[in-house]
Amino acid sequence: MTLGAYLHANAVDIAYFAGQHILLFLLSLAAAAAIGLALGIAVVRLRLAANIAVPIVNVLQACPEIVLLAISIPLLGIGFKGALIPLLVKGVLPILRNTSSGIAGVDPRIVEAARGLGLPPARILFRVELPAALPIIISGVRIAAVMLISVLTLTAYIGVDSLGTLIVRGIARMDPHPLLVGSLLTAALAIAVNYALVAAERVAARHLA
Amino acid sequence: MNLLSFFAYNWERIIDLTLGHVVLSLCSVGIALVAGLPLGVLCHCCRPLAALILGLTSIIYTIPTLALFGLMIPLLGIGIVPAIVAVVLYSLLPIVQNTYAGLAAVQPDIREAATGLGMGFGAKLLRVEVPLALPVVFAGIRVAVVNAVGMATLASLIGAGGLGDLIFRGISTVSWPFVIFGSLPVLALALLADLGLKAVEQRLALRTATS
Repeated sequence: MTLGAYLHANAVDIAYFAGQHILLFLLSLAAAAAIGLALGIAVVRLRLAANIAVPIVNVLQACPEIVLLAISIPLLGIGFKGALIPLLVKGVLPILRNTSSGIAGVDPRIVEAARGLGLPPARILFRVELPAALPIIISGVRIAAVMLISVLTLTAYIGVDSLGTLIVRGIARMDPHPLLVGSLLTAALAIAVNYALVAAERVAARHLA
Repeated sequence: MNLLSFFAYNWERIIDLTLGHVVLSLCSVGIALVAGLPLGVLCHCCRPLAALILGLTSIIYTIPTLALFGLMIPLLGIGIVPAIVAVVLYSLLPIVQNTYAGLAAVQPDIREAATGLGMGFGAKLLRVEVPLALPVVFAGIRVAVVNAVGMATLASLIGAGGLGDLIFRGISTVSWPFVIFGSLPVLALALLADLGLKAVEQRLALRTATS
């Protein structure tokens, strides 16, 4: 069978897996962004949170995603539920880290000036600090996004439908067609998302300047 | 079967696979160093090439790891060689990028002083710029090693052994002792590499700062 014939015969399947991959990616990125931003702000504002979070983040950072996936099976079972731990850990960490370092890196004179104008702390956070930290935060979102696409391919091993399913099938049957289609599509997705967010980062940085 | 008796029956195999895992990771990072350090220096010396080399290595780094291993099978087949190639490709970015960034961060007046002392291009690079860039380069090596330990787990999928053998066997047969005794050594190796190399990195940074 040629690659063209394979594509023709499996177009519906491939479209389903691609759609599923993109859907789960968007959902997990949205969740990771919300949690990462909130925790990042907490780490900057509360010394206690920083003291607890920083060592945990450092350990989890070094934890390979397949290990996170494997050890969450006994805890949460298989299927999308079992993928939640690696998806959240690998998605939240880069956003948390960049949010806190981005806010900490905002020029203190700007914050001082805003305070001098009598702005309440919440307004300072949303109108001054977060916009100034935006390029760095978007950079964290970009790292998380690429990571999440990679983790989602691996979740095929615990029964989540994604483009990884094609790769897993290809490896199991030693069939180059699903291997090529699955690998190239996930690679293309990751590269496209990466470039889109690099562009967003530039726009945010230019806007700031 | 409980965890203790599993370990009693399988400890030799676990140690074997752990050693294989370490060898696979270290060989790959070693090869990536041999290729990546000169590429980083090349980026530093020739700016137009820098965009090309950094662009290519970062595209490779963006490819999901499972997809990269998946692409190896049609290209190179299965076994240890395609696994090492995949991990080497993935390790290039942190090494090349940090070598480049470390060299670029050397202060211009130090560079000028070296030129003023009559140092040629090679002497300046080897005796002034590289030693000053070392802590940053080392940070890149640390990231590469930690990544490689994680990625080597997937090498099992293309028949290259390592602790992934236990993890994937455990996942497909729903056997937790396999999952746990495969995951724990990977986790321990990753943390050990991260903390150990971080300590070396701090010592290097301290020495660079005081000298």
